[in-house]
Amino acid sequence: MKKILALLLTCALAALLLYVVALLPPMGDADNPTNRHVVPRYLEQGEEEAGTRNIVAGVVLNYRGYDTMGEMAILSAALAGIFAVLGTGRKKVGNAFIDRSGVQFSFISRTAAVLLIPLIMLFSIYVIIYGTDSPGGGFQGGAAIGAGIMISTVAFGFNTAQNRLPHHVRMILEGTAISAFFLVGSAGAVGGGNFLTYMLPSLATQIQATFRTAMLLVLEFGIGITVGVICTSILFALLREEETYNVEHAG
Amino acid sequence: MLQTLNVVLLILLIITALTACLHRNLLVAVIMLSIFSLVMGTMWVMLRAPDLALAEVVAVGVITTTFFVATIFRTDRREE
Repeated sequence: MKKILALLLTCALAALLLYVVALLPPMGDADNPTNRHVVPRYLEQGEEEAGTRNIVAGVVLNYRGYDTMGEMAILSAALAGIFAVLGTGRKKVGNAFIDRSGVQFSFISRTAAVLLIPLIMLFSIYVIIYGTDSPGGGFQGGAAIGAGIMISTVAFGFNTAQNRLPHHVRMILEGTAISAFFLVGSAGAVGGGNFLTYMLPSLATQIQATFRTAMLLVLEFGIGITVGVICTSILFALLREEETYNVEHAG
Repeated sequence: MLQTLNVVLLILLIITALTACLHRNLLVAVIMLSIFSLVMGTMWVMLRAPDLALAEVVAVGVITTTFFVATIFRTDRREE
């Protein structure tokens, strides 16, 4: 009886959703509401107003800078939640299943890691620096940094990685993005404009563009470092085992 | 040509998504999710959203997969 009721409800929901899908405007139509309100402004004047050739970066960092700042706060909150459940690992009890697996003694994984990690790091820094001009930006580059650190953790063991990036160093780096946002935002406010305007009215107009590029770079690097380090911290929290392990269970 | 590639990628998306949902072995499901994100990244490039493609491949394909694998290895793997 319960199952039939659940089936009926699911079918009703599916029918409702499909009906709504049929009412949606056709994809890519020029008359869609999304193409008529803010998008033309972004596409036509974004390069001039935001100072970025990549419109996505202009929207993320300039038009909707507050949104991005909130997203960084959400990341920090998520990390705080994970620490509350799994522990912060300040005591440095280094125990993880990857340290007793055979992966890190494998010649193939070590060689691949040694060859790959420098390239991944170089690519992530490239993505961060050119995020305002080409696809990419702080989030993607930071995630690539986190991926590189993850590969090195798997290849060289949890203890090595944790000693290279101890808890007190990560704790400072995790706050970089919000600090960068407040620094850049206050720079605009100090000059007499609004928060996050990327403008200093007291500066000469010719330096304004250079100033804006520098501020965008500060933000991109802050976001990148924070995303990478938060990914690393979550991975370390997931890997760490506080109890001492039994050798019988190692296989 | 592009149309054929599109159809092939869409079929691959459906197959990997269904396998990720239905497979009994959690590790296989996680790897399928990773393949799904790679195919989805290709789709984003074809839909002219390279920003999203980068984020999809790096965040879902690498980072989420690593988190899932780490979590699976910390839990017991037993059949009911």
